[in-house]
Amino acid sequence: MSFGLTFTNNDNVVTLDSEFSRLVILDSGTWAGSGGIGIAFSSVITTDEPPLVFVRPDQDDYFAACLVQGSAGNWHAFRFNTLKGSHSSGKWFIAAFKSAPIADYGLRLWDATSKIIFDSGTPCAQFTRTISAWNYLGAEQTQPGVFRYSWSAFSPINTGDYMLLNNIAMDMAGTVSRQGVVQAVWDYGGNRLVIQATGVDLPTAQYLSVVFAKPIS
Amino acid sequence: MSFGMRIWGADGALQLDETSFTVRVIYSALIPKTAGRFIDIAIAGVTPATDSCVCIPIVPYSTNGQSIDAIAFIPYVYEGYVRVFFGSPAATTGPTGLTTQRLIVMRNR
Repeated sequence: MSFGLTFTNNDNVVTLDSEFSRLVILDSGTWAGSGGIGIAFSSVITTDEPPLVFVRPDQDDYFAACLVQGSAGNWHAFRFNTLKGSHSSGKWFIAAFKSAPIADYGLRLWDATSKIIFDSGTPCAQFTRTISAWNYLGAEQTQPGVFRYSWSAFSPINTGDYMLLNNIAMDMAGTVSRQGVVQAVWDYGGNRLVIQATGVDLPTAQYLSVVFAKPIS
Repeated sequence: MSFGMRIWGADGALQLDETSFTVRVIYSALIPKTAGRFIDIAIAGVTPATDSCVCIPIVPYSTNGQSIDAIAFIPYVYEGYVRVFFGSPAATTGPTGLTTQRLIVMRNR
């Protein structure tokens, strides 16, 4: 970076600079329900790519078949399946990498191509951590030849962080010819996130990256 | 505070201060499926000590567990490059994903 601003925190870690944009919150809300849960955005999101959807359940919860719904320029909702008959509720926000010039005072920051990457008036979010190393917990048979594998990691979930929903339920590739569906389980009692995958030829190694973020304003 | 910077929003709430910790996005690109089981993407300065990465779908995918368009790409950080696996990194066999996904590389210090 040859010009602009770099802001370094007490640990000499760069907190803000002119080079990379921050996550900007576009919409937020809460959900409550059971089984299949669908949440419409308050207005259509017109970006080419889907916004990043972050969720934080109020209680132990279960996220499967997670999708951001719509198409390029017209993202209108997201959905996931939780357990039938179990109460599910929590908070969500959606975010994208852009900012808008709406603040009357504070700080506004542009990058080298004159794109606004920070504005005090736009609610911002920050990635906080990523889990990509998992401990294998074991497998249980769900049907003949079909096993449900579980993994967890030492990374507490009582920190207020929200989990990125977009990628967690994509299928896990098997090692022979098949693939497995994936779900994320929030276990507040164990203060951990558990990833489960169900299939016929899955490895016992899990490589999924689960990303967390939280609002900062 | 003895040094640093604080930023407040119009609502008076502190947005960033000298104790804030943020993860910055240092690289972002669309990754189409190419021949082979993985692709290496050179990114200057990338290292497992400080960086992590994720691949994110950019279109809705099938949720029936039967369609290879739904297979997640798995990115891994190495010294100087990120390797994106199209199938399981655990094997040299097995199905590979089909659909272009967005790679995001993040730095936490």
